[in-house]
Amino acid sequence: MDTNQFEIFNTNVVKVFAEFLELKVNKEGDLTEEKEDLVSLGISSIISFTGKANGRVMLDVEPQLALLLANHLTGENFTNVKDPLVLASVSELNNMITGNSVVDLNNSYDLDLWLAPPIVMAGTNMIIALPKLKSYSYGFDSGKGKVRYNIAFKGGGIS
Amino acid sequence: MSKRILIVDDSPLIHTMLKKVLLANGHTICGDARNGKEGLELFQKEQPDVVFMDINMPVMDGITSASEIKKLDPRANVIMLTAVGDEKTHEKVKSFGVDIMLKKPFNDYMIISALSKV
Repeated sequence: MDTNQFEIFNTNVVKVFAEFLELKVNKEGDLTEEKEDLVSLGISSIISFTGKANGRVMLDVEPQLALLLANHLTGENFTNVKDPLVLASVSELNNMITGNSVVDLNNSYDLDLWLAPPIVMAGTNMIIALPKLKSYSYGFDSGKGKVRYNIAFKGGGIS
Repeated sequence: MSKRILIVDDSPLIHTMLKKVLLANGHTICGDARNGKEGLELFQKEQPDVVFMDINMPVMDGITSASEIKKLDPRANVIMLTAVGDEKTHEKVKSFGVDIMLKKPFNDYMIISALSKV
């Protein structure tokens, strides 16, 4: 993968938040290479991908934003971020962002990427290690909480 | 016309969202399955009018499950749901007789509109 291709992920984060949640997210800074382990913002959903490149993407959101997402999508009033539907909201959001991105990448670059089902974890200040993978992050602010989208990969003609 | 609907998706959020829209529009949910294998079993047991089927699921994916359902009943109405709705996937599901694929994120209108086409 080429880091220039990551712009597709950035575009889909903004698009899916707007279409699915009616929430405008603004990118904060540029794409950043992560040199050290990541510290979770609160709720992290991870999806692995395989194909001509292999790796995983992570959507990481602050707890108050995860609650807001779940409340918006279900019409309920959740207060516990560990409620299964709150975790599922973050997970599904990642599935949509990453799925839409993979379609765009496959159509444009013929990468033949395929996704594994998402996993989701909750825990503020949780350490997320990145062994043997190049890792890059976009940061966003929704006005209701921060968002990080991290891409870690190997293969596929990295440049 | 009210339809009996089977939902097959590994996300509890999608179950909740679909149920809300479908029940509000007068349909009934005859089964909830969390993977393609459970979906196939419930299809045989419940004989629903329509199946909403996710693609990317553990145990058995939605493409395998939907193709098995179409083998059991070629007239079965299956609506595929996916965030990875590329042309290749669409062609694959069309090859065994599933014409409707809803790309996530979808809204209430898209769900009801898809249902009106089956």
